[in-house]
Amino acid sequence: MADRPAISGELSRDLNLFHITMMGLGMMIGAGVFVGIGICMSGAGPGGLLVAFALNGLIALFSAMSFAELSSAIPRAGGAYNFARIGFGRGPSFLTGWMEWLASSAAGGFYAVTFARYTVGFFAGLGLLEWLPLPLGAFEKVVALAAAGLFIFINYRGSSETGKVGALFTVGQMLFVVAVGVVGIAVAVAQPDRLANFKPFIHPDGWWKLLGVMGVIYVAFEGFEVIAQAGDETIEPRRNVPKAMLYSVLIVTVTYVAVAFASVVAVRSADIGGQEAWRYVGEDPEIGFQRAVEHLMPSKFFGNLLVTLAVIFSATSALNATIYSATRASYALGRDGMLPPYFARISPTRRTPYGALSVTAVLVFAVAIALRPKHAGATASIMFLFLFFVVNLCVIRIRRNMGDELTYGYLMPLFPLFPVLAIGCQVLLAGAIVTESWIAWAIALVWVPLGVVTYRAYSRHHAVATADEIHVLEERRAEPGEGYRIMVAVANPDNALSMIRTTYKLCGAKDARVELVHMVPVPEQVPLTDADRYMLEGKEGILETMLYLAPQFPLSTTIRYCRNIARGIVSAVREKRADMLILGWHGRRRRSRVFRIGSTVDPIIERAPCDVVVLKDCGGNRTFRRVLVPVAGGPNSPFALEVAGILAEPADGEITVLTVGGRKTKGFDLNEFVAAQLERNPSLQGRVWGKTVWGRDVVGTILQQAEDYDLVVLGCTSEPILRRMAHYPVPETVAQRCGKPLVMVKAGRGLRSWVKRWI
Amino acid sequence: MDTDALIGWIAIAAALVLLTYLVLWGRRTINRIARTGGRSAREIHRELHGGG
Repeated sequence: MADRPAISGELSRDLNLFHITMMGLGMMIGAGVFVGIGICMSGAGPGGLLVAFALNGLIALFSAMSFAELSSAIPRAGGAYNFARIGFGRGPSFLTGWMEWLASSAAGGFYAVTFARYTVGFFAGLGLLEWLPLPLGAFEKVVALAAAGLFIFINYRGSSETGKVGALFTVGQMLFVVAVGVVGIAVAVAQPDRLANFKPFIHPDGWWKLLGVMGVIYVAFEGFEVIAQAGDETIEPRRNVPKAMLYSVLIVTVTYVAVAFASVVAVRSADIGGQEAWRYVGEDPEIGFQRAVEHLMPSKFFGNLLVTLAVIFSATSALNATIYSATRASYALGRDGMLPPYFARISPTRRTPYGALSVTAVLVFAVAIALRPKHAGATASIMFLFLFFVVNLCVIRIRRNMGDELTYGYLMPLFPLFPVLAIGCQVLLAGAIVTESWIAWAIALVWVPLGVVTYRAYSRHHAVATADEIHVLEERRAEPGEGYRIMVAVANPDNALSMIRTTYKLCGAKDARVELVHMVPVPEQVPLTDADRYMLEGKEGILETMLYLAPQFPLSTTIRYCRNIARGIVSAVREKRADMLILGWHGRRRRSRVFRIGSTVDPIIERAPCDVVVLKDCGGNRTFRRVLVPVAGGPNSPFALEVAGILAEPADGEITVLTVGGRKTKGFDLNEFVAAQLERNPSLQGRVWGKTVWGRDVVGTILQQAEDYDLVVLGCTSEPILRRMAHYPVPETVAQRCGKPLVMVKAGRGLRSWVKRWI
Repeated sequence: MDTDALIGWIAIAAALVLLTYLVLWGRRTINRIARTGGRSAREIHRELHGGG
């Protein structure tokens, strides 16, 4: 693993809005539009071509809005991989980086083969390649490999164009495509009979092929996301990065529609022997754009030369950028321990990640050799669709969980309408690609499961916490050993004291190894070197807890800094593989429609992959003789009863399992539930009683019943998140209002639980 | 004009208009947030929607 400094240096901020907008445009106007026009024209007809570019632009904008919002809130951690790590944790972020790696590599291969196709085609058209001993198709592959090899070498040398120089190249590309669009419109105005080329408007086979071609050419709208990576170098990134993303999608969509229009009206049927113009352009789809534009120019040679130069400029600059991007993605996975250390190797002389670059080179070469431009583009498209799908999920998740903590520079309207729309459209496009390129789907079906297997078999065992996630300030390990692990999150001495007795009982019942953890939240503005100033309270709390627990249980302690307490605790639970997490809750709560219990406790309950026990007001020398367990048949009820059994006084404690009769408990049989739990846990025999009371106000009835008890143990709601957003769930409302000592529990149930909570 | 063409041109125009509107709306929002300083999602939302 490569050593990483704890404190990262700052780059000088000298890129303005224009530079980063051009950076996005430079990536987007690669080869996608040049190859896409022919593919789309042959698949969807002349009008379908314009519809495909316009709708794809809109779908890309929905994703760009998600990227813009996330980049404005997290400008230093741009990129889908980082957003996924912050939003969903390590596993999904690995898969995101893994897909980003193939997406960029496939795009690189696509640009290389497109460059070769146009360049070789141009020279062959001039009759300059007749001496070749090998077929033109084979020679194209050689040229594609040479182009890819050249830019891999350039990336190895470490010389990459800066935003400012790159902006000049992009201006040149833009001028060319804008000029084609303007000429096309001018020609159509001067000779309106050319508009007859729009008949038929759509392919005679109908609209159904439109989605497939839209999916294949989606790669032409990929590229705005690289703007997120320039956050560190941008002046006023919260303002300029989101603007640049939105502008680049708007500019590129309008330009593409204009160029598509020009390509339709460029050819007159009379000039091609009465053949329909759209069929002529789509005859050789991959160079359809060239076939159209040569008719717009004064001479065929001039038209071909211009198109070839434009493709050379745009494909090579995009090829350079995608190789850089793919290398960055795989290097990040290697650096974070999720791929073997070879991926994180840095050349001592060039300071470039040669390990990641060499494996990326293999992928780019493989795509360039094995796939035709259409399939290479479709493979890149499908991977980018998956990638943007994840980012659209991230924006929902991050706004929901961290919206109160992050500082936003842009918020999308009607949240979460647009990310949801984007997700739906991306699913449709990805699915439809199979009609145009089953090869792309086959590759995706191998690559994504391969990523899952790699993560399960390697990455999750080797992953290291990144500096943005968490940082260990002080750690003391117990003797190594197996057994049930309980993690106790300690905030301060008061909080520690209030949890000790209950924690002691739970640890004793489980014969557990104990991990005390304290998270020191360090604001983004504070240098990490000052993190230890914040750890004093936590250290005292841990010492307090150790006094009680250390003599009885194997005990480890960890103090870490983190940017966010909830994320830090969940990360620690995953890393230490805790079976149960215990944390305290002060019971105070700000008014919020977003958080049910609190901005720290909610995300922990949501994401911690283990049993969670939240203690409220359980401190002092309280004894719990009468324990109330309200249930309604939810999946956390058995665990609530188990915890109640542990906390109730062993000699004379009695537990009442309460259900409030009414509509919500329909189908739940209390007696059956109690019998099942007694069978499962015989130690509860003779201590548990069932009780049903009738009341319209469930919360009020439970609170009224709770008055007669020493402790209330509740299972968290199991309602899906989307439904929960509409109203306050009963358990959480009871927890807020209950004046008695209270314990909330959630049973960890892995992937199934995660899926259920969302859907 | 046949039905396909009518649907197609409407789709193109609607997509371009919506796209332009969303970008201009985004630009205005970004400028507005920048003037008052970046804040949490809830605070911005409240400000943009007149205290709701």
